[in-house]
Amino acid sequence: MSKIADSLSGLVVPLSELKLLSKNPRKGNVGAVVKSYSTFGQLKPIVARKATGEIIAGNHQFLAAQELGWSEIAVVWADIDEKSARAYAVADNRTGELAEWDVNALIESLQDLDTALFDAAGFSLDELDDLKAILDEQAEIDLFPPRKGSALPIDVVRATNAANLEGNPAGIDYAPSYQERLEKYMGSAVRSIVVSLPLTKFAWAIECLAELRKQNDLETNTDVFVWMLSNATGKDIPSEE
Amino acid sequence: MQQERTFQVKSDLAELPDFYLKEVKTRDEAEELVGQTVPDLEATITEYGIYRDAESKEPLLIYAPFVGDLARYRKAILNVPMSATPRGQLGFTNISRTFGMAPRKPQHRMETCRITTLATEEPAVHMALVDVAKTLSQMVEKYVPEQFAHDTVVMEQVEEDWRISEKSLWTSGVVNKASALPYHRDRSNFETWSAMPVIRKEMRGGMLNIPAWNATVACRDGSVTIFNGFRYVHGVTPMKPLNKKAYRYSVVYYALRGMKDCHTTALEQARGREKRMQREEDFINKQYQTKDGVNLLKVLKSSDVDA
Repeated sequence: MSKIADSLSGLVVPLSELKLLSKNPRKGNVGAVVKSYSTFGQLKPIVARKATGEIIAGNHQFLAAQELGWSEIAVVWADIDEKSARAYAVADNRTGELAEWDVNALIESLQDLDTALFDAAGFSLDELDDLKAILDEQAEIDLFPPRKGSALPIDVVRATNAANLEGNPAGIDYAPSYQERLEKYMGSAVRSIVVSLPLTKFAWAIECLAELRKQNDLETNTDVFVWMLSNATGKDIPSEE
Repeated sequence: MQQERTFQVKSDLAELPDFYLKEVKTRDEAEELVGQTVPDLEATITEYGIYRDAESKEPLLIYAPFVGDLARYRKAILNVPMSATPRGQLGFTNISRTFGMAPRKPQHRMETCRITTLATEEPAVHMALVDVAKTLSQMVEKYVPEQFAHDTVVMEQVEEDWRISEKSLWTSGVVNKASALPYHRDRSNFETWSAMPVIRKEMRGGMLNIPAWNATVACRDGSVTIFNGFRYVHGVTPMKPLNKKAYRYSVVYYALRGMKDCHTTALEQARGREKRMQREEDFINKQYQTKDGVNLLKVLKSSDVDA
């Protein structure tokens, strides 16, 4: 049984009075129209050429009505020649195709619908997710630019993480600047001395250090270095506190 | 934006309904699938909820919406520099990047437990990934409190320094890009639950299949799946991009068993110094040693003395 809006009742004709547009350049999704007609019924008429009964807008609606077992459909008759009819058939599809979605508004329209209405609207959950992903990507989020090669020790990462959780919205400022890291290093309890040697002297130094560690029961090369300085200068090694 | 950040409170997490799953394969039967490609399957788990064993009522899996600033998280993930990692036993190369903490790997000259290189290479991205671990832990605490208690006790084996974030149930994470991983178990992990947020766009498939329950989780964009990946064999269904801009990333937060051997940061650093010192000595000895085992340095030294 046809499900056509009351206000279209004056336009209703039997399906047998209509025929599909020959060489229709548009291939539509009849299944989607079937879902829409099943849920909403026919709320706007299709358009057919008065002289021939050929449908120039709504061929897939006609097929959906057939698939649903309807016997009739609401039609507006167009009194136009064949060329104009063909042009109108293209225009009817092309104008829709030239339009764009306002993605924000579309998501708003879709996301609170119950399953039946959502299905009838012609979108899938995956497609809704895709739209949301596109919106996310368009959002201006300032994950601050990469800092190649900036070494952050764990405690710095941890401290900044904590600061981040306590209300720094996008984490934009968490990474310390070079100056901040320098100050942190300068204020830290441990500093480094780097010794650079040509390979042969380096090999010799490594061997000597190993010997000295073994002979004097010292744990690390740092211990050897401090021990040597103390021996050479006769000065006591300061306590770590 | 500020409001989004204060989201990270247990009571703000939505209530989830319970669903029940029937075990259709024993663990041994599921184990036989390891290494096999996952077939193209339809999703059987599409609704957010807590999925339980139909008989014992034990929780098996949480499927929930992501809580927090998804746009920021997405941006971070899309900015992760990826690398190709061969997964030897599975005969599969994964496009992925690890984050969080990493254990010692002496065979790769990594003598100490350490934070992964992403933290220094892309600190903002790393931070955004790490931030989420706390909320994910809270999800476990709210939805499956007994499991949370269990996993918390297990994680006491790992020094707090080596958690991915403070009070987190995990040590580490990996971002996988469009990885249709064959069936596997997360054998390097503790037997605790792992969390897997997914972001995707215009990519179909890529669902998580757990054959023991004949469960295929839809893994929608902005969803989180949490389950025991150590115990249950799982894999990912094939993916079909709708266009060239399509993507699907899974981010897995897990607890690496190897991290229980990590000392505090200070001790690890000392250990690192010691190992480096040893390596330098070994390097020199090797460099000056002939094929016959003669140390040229010593020869050189004795000839000096003779001279």
